[in-house]
Amino acid sequence: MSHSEQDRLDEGSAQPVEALVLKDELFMSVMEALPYAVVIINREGHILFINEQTEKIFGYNRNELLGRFVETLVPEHLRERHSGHRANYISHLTTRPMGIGLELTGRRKDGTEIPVEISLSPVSVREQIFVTALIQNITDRKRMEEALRESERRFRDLAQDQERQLILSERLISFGEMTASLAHEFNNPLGIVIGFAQDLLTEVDPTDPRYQSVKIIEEEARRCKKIMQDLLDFGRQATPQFTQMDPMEMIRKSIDLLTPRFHKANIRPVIQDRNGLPKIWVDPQQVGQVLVNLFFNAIEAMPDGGTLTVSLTAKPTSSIEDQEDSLAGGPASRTDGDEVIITVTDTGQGIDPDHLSKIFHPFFTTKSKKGMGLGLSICKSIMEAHGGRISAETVPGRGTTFYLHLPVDRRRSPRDESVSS
Amino acid sequence: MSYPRILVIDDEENFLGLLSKVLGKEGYEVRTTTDGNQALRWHEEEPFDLVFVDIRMRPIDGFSILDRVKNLEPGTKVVMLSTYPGDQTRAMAFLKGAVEYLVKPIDIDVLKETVREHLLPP
Repeated sequence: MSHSEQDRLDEGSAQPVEALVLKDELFMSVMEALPYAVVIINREGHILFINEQTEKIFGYNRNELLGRFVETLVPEHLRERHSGHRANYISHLTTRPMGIGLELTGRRKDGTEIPVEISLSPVSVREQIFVTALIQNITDRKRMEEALRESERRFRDLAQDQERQLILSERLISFGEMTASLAHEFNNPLGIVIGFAQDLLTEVDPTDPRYQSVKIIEEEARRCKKIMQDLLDFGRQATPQFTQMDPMEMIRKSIDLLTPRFHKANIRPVIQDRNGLPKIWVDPQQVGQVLVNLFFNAIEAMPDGGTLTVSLTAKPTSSIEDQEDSLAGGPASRTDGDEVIITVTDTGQGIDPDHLSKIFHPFFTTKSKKGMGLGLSICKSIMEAHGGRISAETVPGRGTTFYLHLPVDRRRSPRDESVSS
Repeated sequence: MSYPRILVIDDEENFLGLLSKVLGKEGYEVRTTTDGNQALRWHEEEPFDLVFVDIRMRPIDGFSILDRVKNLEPGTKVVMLSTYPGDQTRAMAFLKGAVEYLVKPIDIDVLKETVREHLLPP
């Protein structure tokens, strides 16, 4: 190679035309092959070059952008600030790599905004300053990040919910233990008071004025004993004492019990009577307690009055569970595999769907200061002790329906209570 | 002829007082104590016909007293008293030879009925 040829190759300005064309094609090919939008601007902020990715990301064609201010690609409310940033950048030129944590927003031709990540590189050619911006549309990444955050949030909520449940369960256990222990401890002295009072009554003549006083002592002590027993049942569900009952009769008795309250609350109780239903093995007191609890809730759900409908259906349930029971030879058995479903429907406010899954949890209540949130949880325990279940459906503003599923025959042998006496 | 003798072992003085009064009025000779060892010494000296014993006792629990009473005098009838009823303790009471298992608080009519069932009239 001659000296003059070497000079020609070293000095860009004096390159042969072919070499220039080759360089230009190479530059263009590289620009188009880049997975980023490339925007080159001069120091005044005019767009001098864009590649195909820029057209794709921002929805403009080249002719619409070339010569325009780069702020065309910036949302209107940020343009003024962007011009300031740009001027500042031009006077303190540095290379700013991608991913340094700047949350930037681009504006597409249709006005929509997109999250972008931008790297800036200053270039000096023949004493002129140009800035090359590599722009990446990070919409998908942001969406994934948001999905990840959402899933993390849900997971955290779930974990917190479970922790809350655990705490509630522990509280329930300690509540049960405390009431049981309290009730037993009170029962003993109360038994002694009742015993002495009973004994005194045999010694005092009924015409003696003191007889009435002793009688009152005995009655009031018995009342205390009953309260303690209720508390005991409340904290620790007693084993059901099964007896065969006509379910309709049980429903009528529970309705009768609350008739004055229904009347006062302007609520019309409707029993959809059905004949030919089987008698069921239940603890009538416990299932009555469930019904009364549901009726009380219904009264509270209908502050302006309404209708309470109680109906009965029978349904065959020849399930795998039954077959397993008979194979295992367990104490539980169903005479004919049928179940009876008691439906209690009110025309009240309904339950917030977000609350529906929690209403059977212990200590869950929406009645601030009115209850302990144990009612439905006790209903659930009673139903389970009967080999049945309870569920609910609600339409906010229209009412709630509770379903009590009771096997026709699910007597259990009494549970063993291990007591270290 | 001596009256049927009843022994009551419980850690509640007032309960002992109640049984002593009620059963005494029925004509039985009743002795009561909160001390299980004392009770066993009395029983050894002269066996009782019927013994009421609370399961939850210290330092000797009711079941140990039941065992030792039956060892000393197999014919003695023992009624177990329980504050914390359970099927296991009930079963154990009968397995060890108790004739009754009563749950506190005990109705005095039930108490009198139980005594009448197991003892000859005084």
